[in-house]
Parts: sequence; C-alpha cells; structure tokens
Amino acid sequence: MIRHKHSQYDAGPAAHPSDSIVSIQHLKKSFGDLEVLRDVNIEVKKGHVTVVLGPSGSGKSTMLRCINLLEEPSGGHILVEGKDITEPGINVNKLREHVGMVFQNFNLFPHLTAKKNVMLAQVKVLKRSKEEAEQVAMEQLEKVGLANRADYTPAQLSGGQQQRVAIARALAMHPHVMLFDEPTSALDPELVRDVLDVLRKLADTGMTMIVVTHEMQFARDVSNHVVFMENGLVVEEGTPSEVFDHPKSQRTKDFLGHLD
Amino acid sequence: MHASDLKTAFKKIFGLAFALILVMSISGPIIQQASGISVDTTTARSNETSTNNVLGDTPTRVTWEGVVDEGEQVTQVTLQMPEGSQFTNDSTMRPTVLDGTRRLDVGNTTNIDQHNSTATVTFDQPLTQGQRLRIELYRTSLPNVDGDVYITGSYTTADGQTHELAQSPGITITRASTEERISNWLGEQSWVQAWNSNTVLRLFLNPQLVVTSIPTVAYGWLLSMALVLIGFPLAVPLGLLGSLMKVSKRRLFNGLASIYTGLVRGTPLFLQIYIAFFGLPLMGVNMNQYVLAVLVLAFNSGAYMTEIIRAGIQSIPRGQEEAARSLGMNHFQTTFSVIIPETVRRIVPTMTNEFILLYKDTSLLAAVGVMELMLYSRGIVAVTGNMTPYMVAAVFYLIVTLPLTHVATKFEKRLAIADGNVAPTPKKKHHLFGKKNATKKNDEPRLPLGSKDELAQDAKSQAGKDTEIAVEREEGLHD
Ligand SMILES: Nc1ncnc2c1ncn2[C@@H]1O[C@H](COP(=O)(O)OP(=O)(O)O)[C@@H](O)[C@H]1O
Ligand SMILES: [Mg+2]
Repeated sequence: MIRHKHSQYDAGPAAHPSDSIVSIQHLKKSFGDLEVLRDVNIEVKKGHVTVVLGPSGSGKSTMLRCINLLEEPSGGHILVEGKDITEPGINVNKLREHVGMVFQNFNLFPHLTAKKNVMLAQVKVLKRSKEEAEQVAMEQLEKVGLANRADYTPAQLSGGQQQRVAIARALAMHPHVMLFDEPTSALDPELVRDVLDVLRKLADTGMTMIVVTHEMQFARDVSNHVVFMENGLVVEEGTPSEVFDHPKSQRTKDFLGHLD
Repeated sequence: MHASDLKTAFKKIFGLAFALILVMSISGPIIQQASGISVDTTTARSNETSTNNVLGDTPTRVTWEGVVDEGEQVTQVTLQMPEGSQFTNDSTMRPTVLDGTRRLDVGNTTNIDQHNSTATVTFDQPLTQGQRLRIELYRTSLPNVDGDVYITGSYTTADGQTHELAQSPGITITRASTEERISNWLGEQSWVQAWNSNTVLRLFLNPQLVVTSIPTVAYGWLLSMALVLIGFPLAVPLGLLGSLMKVSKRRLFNGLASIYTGLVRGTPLFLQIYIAFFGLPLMGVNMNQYVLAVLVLAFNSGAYMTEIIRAGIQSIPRGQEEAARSLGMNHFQTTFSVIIPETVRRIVPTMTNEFILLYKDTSLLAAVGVMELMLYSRGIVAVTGNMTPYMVAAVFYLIVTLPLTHVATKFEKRLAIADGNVAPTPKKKHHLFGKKNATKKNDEPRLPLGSKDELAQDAKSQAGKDTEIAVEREEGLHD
C-alpha cells in the first residue's frame, strides 16, 4: 500500500541540508507503544512555503511540534538553521524565539487584550521595553488588519480575528520560520479567507513557512513544496503541480480525490 | 488587645451569673454618729442583667434604713434623693417599722414629690428609741453617673422640730450605656412586654437582649473578622505553593503537597485546633492564642486553596502553556504571566466561597477558648439563659456570608459570560457539549470550569478529533 517508504531526499545527494533552513532527518516519535512518526524526512528551504497534507492522525501536528520541541523526538535529527536541536543541552527557549507557531485553536491569552497578547513575549523573552513592544505590536496588528481591535480581549473577537492576532503575536518575535498547524480548521468558512490572505501576504514577504492545512487551493497557489504524510511517513512530496496533478502514490490520489 | 483585657472580659461575662441571683449590692453598715436617727443602710438593687452593678438613669429599688436614737420620737421622715434622680408615676414607696426582728404595724401616709425628688412618710404615732425604719423606694432612677451618690433628707420629731438627716452611706452607681438605656426603655414599652409574653419570642428574640448583646457580639465579630482577614491572606501563598508543587512533575514536591492536603483535608479542623492548642504547649511552644488561631486557620485553608488553585491551573487549556512556551517563554514566565493570572480569574468564585467557609470556621476556635463571635455570644447566653444572643450572632455571620455568596455568584456568571458560556441552561448545555462534529468551532467556549468530564467532553467537541488526544495527554512539555 505504501509505495514510497522514503522520500527522495534520503536516497541521493539531492539533500543539501546547507540550503535548508529546517532539515528533518529520520525523525521518529512514539507515545508509549504508539509509533506516531516512523521515519520522517523533510527539507524546508529558506523563503519557501511548505504545505503538509495528510489524513487526520497521520502525524502532521506531531511532526510540526517536534520542530519547536513542543514534542521531544524519540529518534532522528532536526536541524534548524544548521543547528541540531535534538542534541542534549540545546537552548529550547532560544530555538523557539526563532521558530514561530500558530495553532488550530489560536490559544490567545484570554486575560490580555489583543495588543497585550502580542506584547507579552516581546517584553518577557526579548526584553524589549514596553514602548518598543507596543510599537511592534501595533505594527504587526496593522499587518493583519486588526490595529483597530488592539484593545479588545479575545472573547470580543471572532475566530478569524483571534487567529490573525495569534499570527501577529508570533510575528512580533521576528521568527525565521513559521509553523502553522491547521490555522483555518477551527474557523467558520466565511472567516477562512481573511486568515489565508494574511498567510499569502506573509509568504510574499519571503517568510519561511511550514503549513499543515486542508486548504488545497491555498496549497496550490502559495506553496513551493507539498508533502503528503500518512501513518507517520512522508508518502509523497514535490512541487504543487507534481503532487496535485500527477500524484504517484495511490494513497495521495485517494486522499486528493476524496477531498474534491 | 492584651491578654489581660481578655481575661477581664472573660471574667466579666461569667460574673454575670451572680446578677441572675439578684443579689443586692451591700455596702458595709456604717453607723452615722448623729442625733435623732442613725442611718446605717442605703442600697440600690442591681438593675443590670449582665452584672451586679446599679445603673444610673434606670429604674431600681432603693432601700434606706435608719434607727431612732435614744430619747427621740420621730413622726416624719423625708428622703431627699441625690440630684438627677427621678421618680415617675410608677414609683412607689413602702415604709416598714421593725423592733428587733418584729415588724410593727404603725399607721402612716406616704408621699412622693416627683418635682423635688423627695419621698416622705408621716406616722400616726411617733417611732421610738431603737425602732428601725426601713423605706423601700420602688421604680426610682438614680442619676446617670459613675461613682457614689448619697441620700439626704430630714426628719421631724414629736415636738415638731425638723432636723437634717445624717448623710447616708454611698450607693455606687455605674453609668448606664446607651444600649442599656435603650434596653431599659424597651422594657417599659407595652409592645415589648406583649412580645415577650410569647415564650418563643422571648427566648429567641428578646428585644432588650438584642440591644444589650449587640456591642459584645459586635466586638466578637470584629475579632472573628480579624482572624479570617489575617488568616485567609496568609493561606493564599501556602495554597499557591502547594498547588504549584501538586502540578509539578517532581515526585518529591508532588508527594509533599499531597501529604499536606491529604492530612489537612482528611481531618476535621476541630481536631487540628485541638492538636495545635493543646499539643504545642506540651512541647513547650507557647504563643498568643490569637496568633496560633490565625496560623491554624491559614494552615487549614492553605490545603483547601492548594486544591482550588490546582484545579484552576488544570482547567487552563493546555494550549495556553504551549502558546506561551512556543513564544520562547520559560516555565517560570509561563506560570506567572499566563497560567496564574488566568487561574486567578477562574478561581475567584471558589476562593470567595473558601473565605466564607473559613469565616464560619472561626467559630470552632471557641472550643479552645479563643474569644471570638461565637464565644462572646455564648457568654451572654450562659448568663441570661436566653437564645437571643445566638440569634444576634447569626445575624453577624450572615451580614458577611450572604453578600459574599451573592458576589461569588456574580463572579461565576461573569466568568461564564467571559468564556462565552452564558447561562448554562440544559438546552444550551446540550448544544455546547452534545455537538461532536461542530463546524462553528470558533464561537464555542474555551474550557469552562466544571467537572473533569465536562472539561474533557467540551475540549473534544471543541477541538475536533485532531486534538482529542490533548485531553488524554499526560506528558508535559519538554525542555
Ligand atoms: N501526546 C500524545 N500522546 C499520545 N498520543 C498522541 C499524542 N499526540 C498525538 N498522539 C497520537 O499521534 C497520532 C498522530 O497525531 P497528530 O500528530 O495530531 O496527527 P495529525 O495532526 O496528522 O492529525 C494520533 O493517533 C494521536 O492520537
Ligand atoms: Mg493535527
């Protein structure tokens, strides 16, 4: 059933970790007896948008969470900007400063206003002054089109607005890589577009992005690279047209067909 | 407040018992060297329910006694009450003539002059040598002063001459407080008398006792408030520390906190109070009982707060910690800038309830003699044999607990609204928790405070199957 046990990067010299900003090599992750990631290999080039597709439970979130060490890999290596983050003694907080993450459920801090949500980590982690943090916060909120909602609390914002604040919050740290875990899955259909527009604009700025999503049109339009995962393995990958128009694996065909 | 003050207060209250026996306050007989009549006794009956004092400006019974001297014949005696005394229409006088212990029946007429505060008795036959005249004045009020007052007056002999009476021994008066005067005034009101004629009303809601017990009970209330207002804040850091230990992954911390909450919550506060108050002195540790009381309360409440705060922390969706950590915040920053502030918001109602419980629990300290609301009211009950002070105490508990309960409920509602979980009617609940394949996820609430099952269920319906695992997840974040 699974025809491609390994991605093409394993086999040959095609893999050049040097021009990859994130390099996932033979990543394994188990929860107890459950082997969630069996052998994942993904190269993410600087400035590229990588879209990760796959059925629910295939390990996409787990893979993403390993990149900023919200999950500890059980095996393999992950290089972020050339540094192996699976090595013991790595400074996790430093790593996370450079790797922004946006969650399916936004996870805004409900006790803080939109602006304060964006300011908090700047002040606590980057030790920016209140004024500077506020200025950066307002810039970022402006970029996601929510400067006029700066003083609203999350409860006063729609889901789409909350997600855009969450994106602003991550961007305020000036990350080098952004991870998106199904950023629009929890949204009403009519709110999805605003968030995707923000993602598109972000991609245009040259931000390196890894996006787990089910938004096929977005994946086609915006991504440079598409990865299809199933059962803890990368089943297929390539350019959007390779994967969408000429899928090699039956599983990919099934998955894409199922979606259409 | 000094311990000695307390002791006096304590003694004072138990001294009340004597008042019940209605003893007269007797000043030792002092024979006045005077011609005509030797006045040897003037007393006033105690008119206060809680001590054996004679209160000023309060109806009492005054007794005056004098003995006719050698060779004298007395036909009339006029008593001049001290300035500020008052006779009313209810006031009466009763003269008695005694020869030794034998009562003589001597015809007489009496007259009370309200205006001049004098009482006069005129005898049909003169009193002779050695005869003792006793005059009792009923329902007369003495001046409202602190100190001794004296009855003076005059007598007339058979030959028609009038002489000054020798000054009587003093009557010691205690100035009546406002509440005592109100109480006395109440006692004369017909509606109060009608009210008190009902046994249940008299025993449980005696208006006079309500008035007189308020100052004492209010004082106890202040002490109880002080105990809880100091004890409660002391318990907060204890509860915070305990809860952080409980959610910690370190076995040792976890274990210590569990032992603490297990022991304290698993045994009655009553027992803990006994152990502290009788055990510590045995070990040679002696401290002010109020300090000890506050410490015991804080120690006890800290265990409950540990669980309240722990539950609050664990009710915070895991995503909150992950979001904070993914922004590069360390464990400490995450705990104190995100988790604790969010927890505080959520536990305000429960903490308010904990305050109410602790406040009521101060009453248990009465068992070891810590003077507080309960013990002060019990003191008056012991003396008066009337339940009214307990009713007053109940009111003093309620004036704190009822408004706070109200406030707690309000906080709960506000929290529910902030969480988008408005008025959880059964119908709404069904909608919120029953919708498994929700598409409109964004207007669903974040995890509300609730039972574990509700939390889990809600989290599932909210996040869909992808994050279902989040609920079962046991492992923490990796550093
Ligand atoms: N912390 C965890 N503990 C146990 N099982 C987990 C945990 N996280 C994820 N899993 C399991 O790993 C599998 C993959 O999950 P996930 O990475 O969320 O998949 P996807 O994002 O592709 O839907 C699922 O079967 C899920 O139940
Ligand atoms: Mg997922």
